Amino acid sequence: MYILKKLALTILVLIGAATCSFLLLRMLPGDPAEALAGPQAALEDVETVRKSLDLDKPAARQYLTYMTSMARGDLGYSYRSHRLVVDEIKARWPATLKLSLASMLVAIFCGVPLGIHAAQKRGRLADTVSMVVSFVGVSMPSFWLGMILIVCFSVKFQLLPFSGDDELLNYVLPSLTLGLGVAANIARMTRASMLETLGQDYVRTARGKGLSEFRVVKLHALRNAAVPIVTIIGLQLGALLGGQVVTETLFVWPGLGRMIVDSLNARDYMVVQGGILVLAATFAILNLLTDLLCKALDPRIRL
Amino acid sequence: MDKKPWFKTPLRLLLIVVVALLAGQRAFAAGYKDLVVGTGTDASTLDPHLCTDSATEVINKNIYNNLVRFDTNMKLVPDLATEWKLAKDGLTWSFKLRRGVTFQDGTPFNAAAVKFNIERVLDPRTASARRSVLAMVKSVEVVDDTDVKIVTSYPCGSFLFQMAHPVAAMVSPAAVAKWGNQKFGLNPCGTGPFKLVRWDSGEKLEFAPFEHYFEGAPKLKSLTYKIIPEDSTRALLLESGRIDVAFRLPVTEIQRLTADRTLGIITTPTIMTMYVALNNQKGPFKDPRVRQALNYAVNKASIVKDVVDGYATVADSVIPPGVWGYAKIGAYPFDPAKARKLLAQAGYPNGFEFTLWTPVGRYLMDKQMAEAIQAQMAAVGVKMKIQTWDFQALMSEVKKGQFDSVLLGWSASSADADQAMYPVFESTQWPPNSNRALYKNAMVDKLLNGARKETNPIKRAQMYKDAQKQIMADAPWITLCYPKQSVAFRYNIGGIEVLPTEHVLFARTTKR
Repeated sequence: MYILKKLALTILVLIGAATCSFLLLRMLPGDPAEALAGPQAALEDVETVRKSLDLDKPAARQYLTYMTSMARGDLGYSYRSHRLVVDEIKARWPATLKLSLASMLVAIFCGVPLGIHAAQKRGRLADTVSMVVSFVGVSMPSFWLGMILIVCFSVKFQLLPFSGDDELLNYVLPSLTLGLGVAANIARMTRASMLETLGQDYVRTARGKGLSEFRVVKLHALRNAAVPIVTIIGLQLGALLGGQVVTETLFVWPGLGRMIVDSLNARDYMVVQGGILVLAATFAILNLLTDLLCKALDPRIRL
Repeated sequence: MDKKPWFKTPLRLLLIVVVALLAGQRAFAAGYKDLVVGTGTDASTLDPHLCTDSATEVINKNIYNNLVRFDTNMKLVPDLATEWKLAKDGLTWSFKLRRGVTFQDGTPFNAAAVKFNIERVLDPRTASARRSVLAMVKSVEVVDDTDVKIVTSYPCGSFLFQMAHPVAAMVSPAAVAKWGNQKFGLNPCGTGPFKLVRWDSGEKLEFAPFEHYFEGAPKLKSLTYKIIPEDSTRALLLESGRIDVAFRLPVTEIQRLTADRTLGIITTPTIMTMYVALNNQKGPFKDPRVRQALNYAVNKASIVKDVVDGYATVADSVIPPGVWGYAKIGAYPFDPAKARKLLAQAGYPNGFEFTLWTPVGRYLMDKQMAEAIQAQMAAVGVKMKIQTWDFQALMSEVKKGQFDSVLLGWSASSADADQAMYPVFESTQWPPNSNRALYKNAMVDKLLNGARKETNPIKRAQMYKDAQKQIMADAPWITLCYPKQSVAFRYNIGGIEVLPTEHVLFARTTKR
């Protein structure tokens, strides 16, 4: 029942996202027909292009056409390449998804242990150092970090490649670039959540039973502290999916973010709208999965 | 006993044979290598009749041929046509076509294909944004397989130049019939040296040499354009040898790469003029003395030297030397005292205030140039504000014609004075058309319209010379500079042909 309700809500979100992106694009200065025809085109040529793209029709009419074809799963075609938007997304989406997941793995494997460690050593040097490290991680611009990584590992020592997505090794630098910032967020959340649970009675009981510190922390405390951590991982994964344009550009990654920005610069409306729609859909699905995972972790949660 | 086991010798033999075979195969493959080119933006469409951006034209030029083309000195030379002649009526052009040329799909290139192509560009259903380039064509007549006549509706002086324009490229009629207008751009087919193998959106375009190319198949195993949007990344990949050639690097990167001895750099002129269009119908700019004053106030030589580090030359006319019809008129010398005097004469002894619009990163160091101009304006008491714009938004606003001034570049892909001057100086071409300075001079109008219909090159050149002289005197623009272009490549690459039209040809490129 919950899932059905949530799915219905997702459809509403998608209609909202499609409408917003449609409206915002048309409020933007700049004209797709002019952009396509180029700055030196003769006026009559611009009008021919406008007509051929149906951009001479009233906006309301364009909107209706867009929404009805969207309902049939047709997202239109690129003004520039005449490639179907669906094909364009199929080509770009996997690269973005793979990079996001790789970055999230980096973030989880760095962030969670760091947070636990800081919580255990609360108030001591290790805690301060961990939190300073994570503070630096949060505030580091990914563009800068990416550049530093490229210069160190690809140019100076030539240990790792930094362009394209065809080999596993290619994932290392971009996923570190994206993952470290997220790791910092996760570490801070893990620390806060662990601090709360480590003070609970059942943790004291577990310690009293004579369980090893490892078992106390990993089995009893972490399990109970997991819900906020999972929630932030879900949210951050959504942010990763939509927010890697800079990293994609730097590492020559053929992802969705770059597709949207390039198309925006060329006023290729259909591709931008399609890209935003897919991001919105993914975000909604991630939210749903996060909720379900939290419920599995803590049966007391009512969805 | 040191007798060798019996199997050892035949095994050795076999081994030697295998190694020899492998080596032979490697040697064969080593003759032709893969060329990887780093470019900043993905192609838009590989249909030359629909393509409008120069980044894609650069790629298309390696797939298609025209009837005539430019060489590196911007001289018109035979391409698919071997000779041509204009009839006495000044309207009928006869072309003799190269024999035995085939398209990449195996169909023959002939007079019927020429007719098909020109008519395709002119057909409104094709919706070509460059239709007006060929709009002077009235009819195309197939005489026989290798002879074609093209009739223009008026005696068109720039006709041959228009035929060298990227939109006049010859595509395979059979391929268009097969794929349709919409899908042809994804499945291109021309007569050129390279044919498309694979196009991964946003990632790369892969080409194989066309083995029946009429000038001989290229000596490369493959040609790949990799899309590398970030300039510094493109430079790094070239330095580390992961790409062989890099396009469109910014001045700062070129400076750095010049020091690298494993790289070569070709720097050539382009056919662009960078300028500030002053709105001739607005405020102080209505007075030619004010416009002249601003031309005196700007130190063009310093901009060329300090802002773009020599990657441009000072503009001494409104069109560059690579364009047919260019005449050296002479730049306004840098003379702040004279600028002040002219401003005082025009009634602005204490200067005035205006705004300059500029795109960022669209043209060579555009914003930095604007900042240099700002400082030089201040020195003569003129307060110039800078407003930066996203390029598409800027073009939309400029079309309304309400601005004070705007920094832009203009280059005519046909490399002829008609396209280089008519749209930007003729008075029927005010915004939303391209005469962005809203310039009007009856004499210039007469010259530009007259030259358009003049087929005698000597008379035509004189008309354009007179027009350039008059325009420089009227100073509708602050005429700045002619930017250069650079292509950087690894030391083992040879035979790259870089044209002032910013086209880079790989038909004769080799990789050692």
